[in-house]
Amino acid sequence: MGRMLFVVALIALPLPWYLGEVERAPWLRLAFFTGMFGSVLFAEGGGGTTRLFFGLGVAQLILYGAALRLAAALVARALAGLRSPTWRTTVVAALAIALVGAGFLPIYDTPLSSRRAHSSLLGLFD
Amino acid sequence: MRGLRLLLLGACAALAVSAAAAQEQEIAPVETPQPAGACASHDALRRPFFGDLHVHTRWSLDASTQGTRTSPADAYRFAKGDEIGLYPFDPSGKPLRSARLGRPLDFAAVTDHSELFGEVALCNDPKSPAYGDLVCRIYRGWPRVAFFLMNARGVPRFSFCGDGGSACLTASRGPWQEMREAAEEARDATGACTFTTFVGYEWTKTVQTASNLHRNVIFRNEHVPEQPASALEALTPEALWDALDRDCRKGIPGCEALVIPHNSNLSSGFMFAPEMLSDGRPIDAAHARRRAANEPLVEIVQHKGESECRTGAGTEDELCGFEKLPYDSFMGRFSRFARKLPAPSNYVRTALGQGLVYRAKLGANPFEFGVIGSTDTHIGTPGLVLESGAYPGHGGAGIPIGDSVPDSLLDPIEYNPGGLAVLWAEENSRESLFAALSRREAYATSGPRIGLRVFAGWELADDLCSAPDYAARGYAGGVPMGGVLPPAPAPAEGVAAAAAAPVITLSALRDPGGGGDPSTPLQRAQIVKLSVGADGAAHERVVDVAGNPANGASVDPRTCETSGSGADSLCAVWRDPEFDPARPALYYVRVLENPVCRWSTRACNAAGIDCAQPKTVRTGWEGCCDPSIPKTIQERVWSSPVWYTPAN
Repeated sequence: MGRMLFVVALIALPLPWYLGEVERAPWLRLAFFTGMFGSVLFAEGGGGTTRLFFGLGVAQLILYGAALRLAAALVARALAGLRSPTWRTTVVAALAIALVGAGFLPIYDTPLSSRRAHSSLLGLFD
Repeated sequence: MRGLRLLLLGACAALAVSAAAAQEQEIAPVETPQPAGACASHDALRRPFFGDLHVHTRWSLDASTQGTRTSPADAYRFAKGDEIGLYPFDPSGKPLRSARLGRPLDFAAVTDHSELFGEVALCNDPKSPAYGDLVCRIYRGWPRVAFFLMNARGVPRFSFCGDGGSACLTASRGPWQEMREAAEEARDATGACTFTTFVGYEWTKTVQTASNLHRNVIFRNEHVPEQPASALEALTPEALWDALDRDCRKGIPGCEALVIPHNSNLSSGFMFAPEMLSDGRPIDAAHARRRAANEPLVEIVQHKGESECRTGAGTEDELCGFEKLPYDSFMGRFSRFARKLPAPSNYVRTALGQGLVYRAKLGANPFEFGVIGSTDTHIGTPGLVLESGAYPGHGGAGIPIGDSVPDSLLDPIEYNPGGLAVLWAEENSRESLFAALSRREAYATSGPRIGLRVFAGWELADDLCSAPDYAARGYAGGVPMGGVLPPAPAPAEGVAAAAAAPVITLSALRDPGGGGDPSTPLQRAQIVKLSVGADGAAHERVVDVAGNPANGASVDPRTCETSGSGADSLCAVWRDPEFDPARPALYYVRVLENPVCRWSTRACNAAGIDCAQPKTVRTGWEGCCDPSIPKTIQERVWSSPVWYTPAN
């Protein structure tokens, strides 16, 4: 359950992070852009802003990754107190569906997007 | 998790497969339609011409990454009064917005960032081998990311540029050729002389924390280098001047250029910090003379703030709060943690005063410059300076607007519509206007087309304001703005030497408006005097010499209705009562209009934002309720100074 909540959070939970602009978007989007800066850094060398942004991205990925893993584990432990496995599954499924469902609305602030300042999961990589 | 990592790495690796390649381009010589002849309209006593010498189009990386498709030719059409379409565009390529000037400009120069001409050209050319490169894919797919990635790259250039950047340098000639051709085609080379263009570019150097040393290069005529200098090759201002000497003045007959720094307000104090040269040596007289010769003008006002002075930063002048940015470098724009209020050394007034100190120390003044204004538009709309109307934002370093016009402020709220350059010239021709730039007979306006004449002399008559031949007597008895006072005449027998003092006269005319542009009355005229004191430091004095600062004029920020009276014209003849002939001094004039609503106030009102009702403050409009942003402004003009230098 903890692992499932963790993955859903990585994909859909809006988090505030900074890569030149402040976005409120999922960890996955941060990973995507960090990968972009990393690819250019490793392919082209050089430093300056590329290295800075790659470092910023990695630091935030690690920080948020750890925080989300911890939060998911805590939620899972709390849910373990529920006696009925059906109830536990229902609550986890409801949480996941709510999070992913909300993600299909333009709830993310995405100024790094080429198309719109507010995106949904469908525009996560725009 | 592991699968996700592999997926991301795989995607990135696939994108990373790229090849650098050079693209050779045939460069045709620019044809001049016909030699510039004498204009039918020629005034020996000169007329003011209004223009914009700082314009970006699709060839500037930062403009293209925010969606600007305006070409240099489009920008010139706009300056001449045509309507042009602006981003965003619908899927068929039709622009969703448009703009048009109420009053055409007299002159303009497209000054795109020269550094990445080649990269922009190659990344947009499907036939180029660089088109599929990772960086070019990011540029087209995620332009805001490319803005950070490419703008701050520096040297070496990206691998798709080839060895030594040769492919990009070669490709850069394409945009440069287009800019030159657009300038030649747009200017009126007939005797009617309705519109003048200059070939130009922006040299875009930043240092340390994105501190701005940017400068525009304006060429006198069509005789220009085959390639513009860029901050990736010419790394310092001195290297830029070297490049202009080598590639223009000494390399091409008839070639001449001048350099105009801008946004000293974003320079972290580096723009006017010549205590040490770029190579670490202390400044000397030769350097001071070279800087003054290369850089006779500074852009004092534009889209990204005004650079005259800041109240509390070395001055208590209460009128120095006009269009101030709350940070001293571009880094402050992108991170609140990097925000620092600009120090006095960021401002033109400080530099002008420091120049006098250098004059006293070295015998040469590196900061003997005049002032102009311009827009720095990044959507290719020169002269679009009105606070009123549907101001579309100039988009400097802006966020891509996306595929629809957003429900939000269209510019960072601390930005403004920018200003104009005004040149006193005999006629609207390149030769005449460039001569005005060179002799600094120029002034800056924050937008309105206020007329301003300034003369300084030793024996200008007290009744000059009522003279029908004001200009003729001004030229005959003194020097215009931008000039240097000649030595004081020998005092008449029996008159103390100290009695000789310079007389400054100014004549200002209200912007008549027209073409839908407003006309606002003038409120007051001031003379700003800077001089070197007995302590060896620069001192300032600001004197109201005409108009009435307490005229009761006001504006209701809720409706933008103005009230109160003002003047259609202001004139004054002022003799400096504290003049010390032993000390260097300068005088410049500032004229203010009555208050009006700021552009942001109008936009917020039109959007129905009421800060007393939080429900009306939608996302994207929060700035409307920022108490640090003024609701009203007083538009103004600044003259170039007149200098006095002691005989010894």
